[in-house]
Amino acid sequence: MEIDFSKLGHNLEDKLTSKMLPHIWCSGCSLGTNLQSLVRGAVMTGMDMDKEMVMISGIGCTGRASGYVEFDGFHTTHGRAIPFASGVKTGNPNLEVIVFSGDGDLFSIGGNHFIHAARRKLDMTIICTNNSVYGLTGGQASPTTFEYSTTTTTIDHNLRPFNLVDLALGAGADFVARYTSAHFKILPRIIKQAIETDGVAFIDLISGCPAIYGKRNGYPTADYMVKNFLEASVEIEVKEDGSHLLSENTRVEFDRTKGYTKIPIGVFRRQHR
Amino acid sequence: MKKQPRAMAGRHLDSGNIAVAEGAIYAGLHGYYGYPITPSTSIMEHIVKRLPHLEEPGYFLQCEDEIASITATIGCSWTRKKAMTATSGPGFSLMQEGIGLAVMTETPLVLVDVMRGGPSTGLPTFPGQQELMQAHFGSHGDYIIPTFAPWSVQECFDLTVEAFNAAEALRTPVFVLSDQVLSTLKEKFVIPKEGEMEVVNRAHPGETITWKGTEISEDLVPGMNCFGEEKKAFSTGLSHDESGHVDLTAKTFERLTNRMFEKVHRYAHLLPQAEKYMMDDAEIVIVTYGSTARSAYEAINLVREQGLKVGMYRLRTIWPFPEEDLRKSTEGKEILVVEMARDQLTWPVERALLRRVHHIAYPMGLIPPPSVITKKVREIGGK
Amino acid sequence: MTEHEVSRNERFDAYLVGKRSNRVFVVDRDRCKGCRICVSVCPYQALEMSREKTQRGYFFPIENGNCTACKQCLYACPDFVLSVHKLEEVTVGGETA
Ligand code: SF4
Ligand code: SF4
Ligand code: SF4
Repeated sequence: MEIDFSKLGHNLEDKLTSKMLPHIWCSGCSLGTNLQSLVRGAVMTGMDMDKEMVMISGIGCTGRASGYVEFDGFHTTHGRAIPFASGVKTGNPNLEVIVFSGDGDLFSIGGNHFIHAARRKLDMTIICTNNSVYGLTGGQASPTTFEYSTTTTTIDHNLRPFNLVDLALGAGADFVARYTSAHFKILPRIIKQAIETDGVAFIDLISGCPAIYGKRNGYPTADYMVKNFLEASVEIEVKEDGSHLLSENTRVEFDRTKGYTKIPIGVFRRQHR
Repeated sequence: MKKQPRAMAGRHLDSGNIAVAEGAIYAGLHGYYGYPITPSTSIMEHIVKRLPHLEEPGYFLQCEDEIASITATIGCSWTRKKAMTATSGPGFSLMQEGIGLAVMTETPLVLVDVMRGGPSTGLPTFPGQQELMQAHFGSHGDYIIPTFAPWSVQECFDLTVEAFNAAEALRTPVFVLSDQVLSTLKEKFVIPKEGEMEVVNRAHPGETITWKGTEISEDLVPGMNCFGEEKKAFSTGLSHDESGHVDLTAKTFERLTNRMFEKVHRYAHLLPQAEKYMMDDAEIVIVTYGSTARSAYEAINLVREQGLKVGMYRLRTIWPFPEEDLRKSTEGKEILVVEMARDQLTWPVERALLRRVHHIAYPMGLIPPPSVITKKVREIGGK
Repeated sequence: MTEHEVSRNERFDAYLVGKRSNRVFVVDRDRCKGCRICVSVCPYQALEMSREKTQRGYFFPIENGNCTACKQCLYACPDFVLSVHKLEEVTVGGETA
């Protein structure tokens, strides 16, 4: 039997904007894996990516994601993916809007938009590829950079990072989850649940920037990073008194010589219907 | 609540802000995104009473700030719905980022800026005309945004409808520069019946539309592929090719930005033309716009009685500046620029005419009274 | 194709894999950035990195005969390099996918 090479494209090739690939991201960057998980989750919903879904991203390495997939999409200015999504959702409520952006974009320059979106409960899914650094601009500290880690702007000491799960719970998001990019087995299912949530669904998607952050902070290679994510992840145990939701129990811990030491993962809140 | 009609046809006695809101609704507004700021707020307070209650309801969203307002306006427009926001000075400053994005992604939308005195928080409850240059140069990069300026409540309505039409026909943001005086001033205005005024809708890909009887070239204004439609719709604030995808080559960037200028200039003759009052025999021409023109109009009538031949060139489209028309209609005449700003309208006027002009700069939060203008005119006329 | 046969063209490596040899494991070499994530996630140690480099200068994975077509590596690959197809869907004259 002879192989027809024209049929060997990626299993998701018809969902990818092939002419834009290979993408600009560094070797081993979590962003590509995350993007694939997102597409797989979107496919699982059974919706038409082009006609029923819109993927909106901001600025930074993650910002470029919307250009690589066959969702309707928009690459907005820095920090503004959420307000753009609010406009789309109110313009055509039949569209599912997915915001896919980084920690600097969503929680530094765009932080105000996030808390108001969570309060307002316009139906949207917000996925933060949280790699604790500004990668595209060369490795500056972001709002989720860990306390004793090295970036180009925090050589001695960094301030306390945001716990994004805690922030999202406090602001009133309807669905709050955290996984890592290495959870590509379960993530599509979680993303599907997030998309199907009526209201604001938020996923803190712990990701790696091996090229810049990892190299300086304990996960120098991509294969080490993937193992590190899986080893450090601890599934939350739901406690009746809700204590599993306390800030100290949802906090991610990190050691600049070894990488992640504890990543509480799971679904922290599901909307009550 | 009872369903309301789009066109509240008939005669009304109300303020410029209400007329702006009604103009937008008449033109087919679907999404309004705003943040409270004096003196533009009553536009949104009127919209919220009307938009959600139309037979085909629109959507009003009070945003967390002006940056969100303009960005959400762009988002709404990409669902092929007409969208607008309104603001004043400080809010207009915050919106500059989004304005650049709207230009780059060729997004039709209308932004109404009700001018007050600045800089900074300045004079919230008094008028100004100090955002004329900001409307042209406020966001970074080269661009041109059609900018209209009404002088009456009726024009607040008319020019808002025109603004939506220009936005849709040319796939561009359009500004309406109103001011604090017009925002609260109540006078009679008429809303035509539905269908009496032209309402333009943007082209689909491959479709050609006409605006004021003129066919809009698809090469200059490509039909818009919006979210939820046949093909992948995509755009970015980065330099991009015709499909909307990133392309940072000099050739593509030049082609994109050239076309964005060319489309506005090619159809500039379809934008609201300047009103020329008593210009035929005039020896002195007052160049002005907005509520300041109301005072100039009074002043002209006063000095005409005294035999001074004065006319008025009242701008209705400020950008792109009607250089040639102004030059032709004021040849050999003395020019007096009147504005509620220190030195803004004088720039494009002197550049168009290649000479210095007389000037009344009145930036302190008041319309220059007719007496100030008549005094200056008498000085120029030697009487 | 015979057992553990590989077909190559200028872009793809296609390996016949799976317990019943009815799957094709594909490496889209040109997109690979040599990160080794696939090698480290494969539960069957079925992948090794190449000795030669792609046009873009990266090492890429080579299948060593242990692949069961479980798809873990392709879900993990950040560059959309790897895929698994049913044999009958990618042969000349076969049904289209
Ligand atoms: S800089 Fe970091 S986040 Fe950006 S593409 Fe490279 S690895 Fe990924
Ligand atoms: S995971 Fe993908 S990009 Fe990385 S080495 Fe394997 S095939 Fe290449
Ligand atoms: S498909 Fe499964 S067995 Fe085959 S190489 Fe990939 S991870 Fe290994």
